[in-house]
Amino acid sequence: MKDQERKGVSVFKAFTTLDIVLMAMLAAANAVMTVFLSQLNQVLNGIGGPIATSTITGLYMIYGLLAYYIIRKPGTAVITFGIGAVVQAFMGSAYGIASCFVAAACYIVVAEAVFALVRYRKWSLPVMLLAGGAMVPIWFFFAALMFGYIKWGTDILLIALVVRILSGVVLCGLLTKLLGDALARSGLLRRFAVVKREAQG
Amino acid sequence: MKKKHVPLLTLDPLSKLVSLFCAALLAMHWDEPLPLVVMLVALMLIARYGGGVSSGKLMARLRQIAWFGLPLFVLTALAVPGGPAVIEWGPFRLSGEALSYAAAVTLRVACLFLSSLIYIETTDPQDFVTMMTVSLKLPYRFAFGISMALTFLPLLEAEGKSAAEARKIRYGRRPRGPGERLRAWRGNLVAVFAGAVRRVEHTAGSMEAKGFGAYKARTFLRQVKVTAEGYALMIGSIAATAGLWFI
Repeated sequence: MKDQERKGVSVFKAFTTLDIVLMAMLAAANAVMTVFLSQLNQVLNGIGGPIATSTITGLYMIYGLLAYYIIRKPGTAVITFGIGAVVQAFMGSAYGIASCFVAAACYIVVAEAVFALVRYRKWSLPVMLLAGGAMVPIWFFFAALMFGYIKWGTDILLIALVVRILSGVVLCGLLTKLLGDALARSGLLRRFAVVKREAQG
Repeated sequence: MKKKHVPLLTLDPLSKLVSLFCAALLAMHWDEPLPLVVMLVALMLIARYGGGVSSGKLMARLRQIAWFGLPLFVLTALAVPGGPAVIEWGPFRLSGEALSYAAAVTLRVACLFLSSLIYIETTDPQDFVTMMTVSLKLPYRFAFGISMALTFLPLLEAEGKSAAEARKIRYGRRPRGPGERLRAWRGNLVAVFAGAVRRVEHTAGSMEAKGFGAYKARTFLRQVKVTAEGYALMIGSIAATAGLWFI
């Protein structure tokens, strides 16, 4: 019990109940989106297997980046992607539970590193595009090991990687920025940093 | 009516998770089809007799993973270079090595999927949340986020479907062409995320009113303990993984 108290104080002190609820809701929204996308994913898988499904990779990462964009506190990716991984695992993934956790761990490391690098101060479009694109390669490396892409010819591997990075930049980085700004304008996020800092200039 | 005894239902989520990761490690380590076929058969038996998954459901899931795995098989067989060609058709050439590897990778995906299915079918998400707090010592506020996401999931899904239906009614037909489909899909995306965000303030307020986060620790009505069988499963899984690693 004491361990639980100590950890609770040290790591998650900065997050309010509002932050945690937002992260949980975004993880749930991502799960719903995954259900809606499953038909498209099946079609793409039928057309071109993992390369075709790579085109929409970015969409599956939006929720974590969006939470970071709205909350703007160190550790946001850890909690959001952590919750998302468990939810995804219990919903069932064709790639298995292990892949849900490994993917989340890769996204966490990169997202935390990118925003730490800009000291949690820059939330411009280029930074969001960079974060979206940078979140792809480490998970691609692990996915290549897990699902055997590693033995593909170098040219095909590079094509798959480039497609995924572009998807991360456009469908994750750009969409997160657009969606985040639209939600901020709607007035739903007035108690979060995304609106407060804009108001402060 | 007599309730069916399902052995894996009586085990805690942690020991089953350790076994799941052991199975995943082995599946990813092997790149020959034979051991993976044996593993798949073993997992099917565990799902049927250990997890209580009905034959019909098991077959449906296997068909689902076969549909998913077939393109992976074809792409891997074509993309892996090396070895003399067994089949040549125009610009495409398939080597025996590539076919064997493609079969292994497809079987691996099937094993990962099936082991996960067993876990999901035999584990209550609420027990998993309790385990995260009690056994893994993660802060309950974080673990509660998982409960919350799982609770709101059906609600958000229903809301997303309603929004999509409303959009169809407005069009008077299903969206046509890539442009319309993209606009409809963007509308659905915004509806789902906005629906999720709209509930945040109310939910957080209600939770705080009930004392959420007021105490640094909390108790659980349902206790989840790692039993002797659970420890035996964990140790057995790790030992079996170590023993089978060099096959």
